Amino acid sequence: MNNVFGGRQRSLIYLTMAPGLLVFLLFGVIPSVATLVISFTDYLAIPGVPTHFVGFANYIQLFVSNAAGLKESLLDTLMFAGGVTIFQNLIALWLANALTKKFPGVRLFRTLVFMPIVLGVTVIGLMWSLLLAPSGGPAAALLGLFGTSSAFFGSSKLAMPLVIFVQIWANLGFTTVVYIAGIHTVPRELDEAAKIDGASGWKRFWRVTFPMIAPSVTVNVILAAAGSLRTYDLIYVLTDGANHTNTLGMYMFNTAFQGSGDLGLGAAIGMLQFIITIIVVFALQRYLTHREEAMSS
Amino acid sequence: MRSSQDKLEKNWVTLLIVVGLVVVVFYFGPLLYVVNISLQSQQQFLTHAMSIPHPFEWSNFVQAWQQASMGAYFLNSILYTIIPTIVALMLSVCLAFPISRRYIHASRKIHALLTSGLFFPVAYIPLFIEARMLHLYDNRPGYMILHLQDAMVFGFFLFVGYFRTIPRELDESAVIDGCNYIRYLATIISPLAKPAFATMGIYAAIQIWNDLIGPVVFLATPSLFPLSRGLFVFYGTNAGEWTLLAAGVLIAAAPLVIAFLLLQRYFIEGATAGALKS
Repeated sequence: MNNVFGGRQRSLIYLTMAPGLLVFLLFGVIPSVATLVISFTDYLAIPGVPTHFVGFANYIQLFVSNAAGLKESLLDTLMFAGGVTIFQNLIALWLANALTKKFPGVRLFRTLVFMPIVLGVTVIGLMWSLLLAPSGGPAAALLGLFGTSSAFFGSSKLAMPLVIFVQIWANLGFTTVVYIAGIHTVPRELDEAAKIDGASGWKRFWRVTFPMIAPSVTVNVILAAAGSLRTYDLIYVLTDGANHTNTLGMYMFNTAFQGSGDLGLGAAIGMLQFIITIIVVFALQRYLTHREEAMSS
Repeated sequence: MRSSQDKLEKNWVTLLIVVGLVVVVFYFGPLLYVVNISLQSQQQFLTHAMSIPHPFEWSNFVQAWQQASMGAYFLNSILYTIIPTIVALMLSVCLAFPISRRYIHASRKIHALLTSGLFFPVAYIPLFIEARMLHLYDNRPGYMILHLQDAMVFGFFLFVGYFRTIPRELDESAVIDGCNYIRYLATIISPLAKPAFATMGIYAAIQIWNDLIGPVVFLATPSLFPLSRGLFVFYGTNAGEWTLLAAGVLIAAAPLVIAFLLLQRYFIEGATAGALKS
């Protein structure tokens, strides 16, 4: 297309674009390709140690020598991603349906649910570690009333459900905003008509509103699934992967950056995580788009 | 005005009680509890944690601030947040304007490539190796440079959409008036894109301020830590001193919570748009 800026002005365009493109190349393009390359090396985080290409050695170590650890990690990832995706969406649907109604305090409730959007994982993690402290915390006091106690994040049974809970707690506001926006696009007349026909509140929601917000469901399910398959910063603060919360992301991080820092093996785990995420997201995308079409026809 | 929109729901009492109970128990209660603990003495916390602080132990905040060297971490966080946000804003405007206008060769291809950058996974392992090779590891300028990419790509995506709404005739008249390209971008185009600046600025600030994995991977010297990691280290060394930790948590959360309450709409926009990435 013809450029109104000519001559010296034109070179200014290229000059001002150069730093941005350099940043993108160095910190965007190269790292996203390099993970694959590093996964074929024995790169260690210790400076000065020479690096060699080792072929598939990292992958063999991952799938063969450390098969038990990998199996556990895959199971933890499935639990975490599945739990977060399903419950975050169900709770947000319920909440969005309620928060789009008129009643006193609704704006205050919205504000409170959205607030964790700005809180970082350190603050969220410490807050819930305090609330769920095995002794002295309010949850422990509550259990004490029933004469029991729990190690919470230190319990091999409870750690995963609690990590899922905190992850949902932190991101519920976002999912709810998307559903609220979706519900606002549903014509009021439809709901009114169903009301006149005598349909109850929940029936109206599932039969009338829910099919109409299929696009919001697609967005929220995919974002929750992709996010929970990749994220591990909250798990890092809460359990550091202990007690069956060692998701692939956490496993990758601890392999690469704790102890002697096996970056090559970490990169191999990162590749596996990346491939799983891509497959799951594509499958969900396909399924949910078909579902949208079926709903709108 | 339609009466149906202004009328309270028929079952508003039930709604108020059920939703209110859930929100208060899970969202307001925890916050209140942390505030309550932060004002108790360690002694009271061990015996009557659930009751109102008596006396009010304001010194927890002073002590947390000093023991956790929060002043220094705060300064680091402010520096790490403001500078990369401003630089990334400038870089993304410089990239987005000519590409949205298709003023350079291969604009379409560069546009597609930069937009795909939104979906690149954060690759800490190669970034860590690169950071060491380029001497960006464990120093302030390096740490800030490493945060440019993410904010810049997001800003690019926002600005391209925004600049398309500005008519081309404006460019032509600027050229006829002999306005310099850089001056044109800075004084004419940028002010027209204020809402995009607000959304991107808030998005970038939330991401960088709250980043914990970044400082764990790219920084080793405690004096360089931002608040997020500083607080985490303080937690590791003072486990069990919950009254102090609660005060620390509140100090760390305060700036963003206050900003959120004042600019709620922009925050929800910025954070929602940002979810594209996380």
